[in-house]
Parts: sequence; structure tokens; C-alpha cells
Amino acid sequence: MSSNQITNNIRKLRFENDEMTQQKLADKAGVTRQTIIAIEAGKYSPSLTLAFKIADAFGVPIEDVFQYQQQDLKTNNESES
Amino acid sequence: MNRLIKKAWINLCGATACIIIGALGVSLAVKFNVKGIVPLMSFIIAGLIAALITRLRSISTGAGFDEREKKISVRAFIISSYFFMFFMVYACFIIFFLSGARNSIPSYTLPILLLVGLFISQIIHSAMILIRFAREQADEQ
Repeated sequence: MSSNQITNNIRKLRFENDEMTQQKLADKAGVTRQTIIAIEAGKYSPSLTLAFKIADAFGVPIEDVFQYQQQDLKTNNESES
Repeated sequence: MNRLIKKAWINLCGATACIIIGALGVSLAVKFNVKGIVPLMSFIIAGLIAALITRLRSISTGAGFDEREKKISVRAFIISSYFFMFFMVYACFIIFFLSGARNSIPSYTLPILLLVGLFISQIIHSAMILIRFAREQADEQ
């Protein structure tokens, strides 16, 4: 059975964007700071709409912010290499 | 403190106050064997139904909350609804098994069961939200 995981670069992107605060990002995305904290820590997977809003706040495509990793594929790739 | 936590605290305090006031009211009504209470009970039941409809609407629309808060609220509501369902089922069967198939129970037992079930499910709903946020805050630190 595979376990799927969504990783993100929000922390990195915030610092690349003039050290944008979590509150500022939250205001831009229309959510609370706690939600940004949860997403950043990988504890909450945002909806597609929110994911696009966050990407839009950084002015980058969504795939630069969020990455989808399938755990079993990753493990297979690692064992092959 | 965000809006959902405030709302959960208000619900928790409100439900606790309702339990105390409701328990006092029912105890007095039973003690003094109050008759002609039907209009009052109808009013209370209409109020409960109105509160339930308002609550369901506010949970489904989630006005003022972001998607994660809505999800937390809906999950807490589902858990409290399951609790209410199991509470009613178990309470009814316990009464049935304790009193026996041919015995009767006082007429005030059913409304008391309903009110207690509703109020406890309210407390569970609020407690679930508060516990979830408390755990997240603990993780942050």
C-alpha cells in the first residue's frame, strides 16, 4: 500500500520574497496564520484553490510551491540507485 | 485567539450553563409536578430545532472561517453527532433492559435524555475543537 505525501517550499519561498511573514502570506491567501503554519509544517494539505492562491502570492507556478511524492515510488527509486 | 476557538469556548460555556439551568428547571417541574407545561415544552423544542438548523447552516457555510477551520469544525461535529446517536441508542436500550419489557418509565425521562444527549454532544463538539487547537499550539512550541 502506498502512502502519499505533499511537500512544500513555502518557508524557502517566504525568505526569498523579502522574508515575507506568515501573517502576510496568510492575508494574501485569505486564511489564518495557523493554517499557513500547518501547511508549512506539512500537517495540513491545502485545497487546490488555496494551493493556487499561495502560489499566486509568491508569483510562481504551483509546482514550485507544492510537490507530490508517492512514498513507495520514492523507495523503489532509491533502491534502484 | 482565533474566531473558531472563541466560538468553541462560547459554546462550551453556553452548553454548561444550559445543563445547569435545564437540570434545575426540570427538577423543579418534576418536584412540584407542574401541569400545563405543554406550551412551554413546545416553545423549548421549537427553539432547539431553530438552534439546530442555524447550527447546521453555519457549519455547512462556515462563514468567516478558512478551509482548515471548517474541516476541524465539521470533523468535531461528526464526532459529536456520532456520540449523540450512540448515547440515544444505549440510553434507550439500557432503560429497556433495566425496567423490563412490560414496565413503564416516568414521562419526563425522554425529554431529559434528549436534552442531556444534545448538551453533552455540544460539549464534545467544543472540546474536540479546543483539543485540536491546543495540540497544534503545543506542536508549534
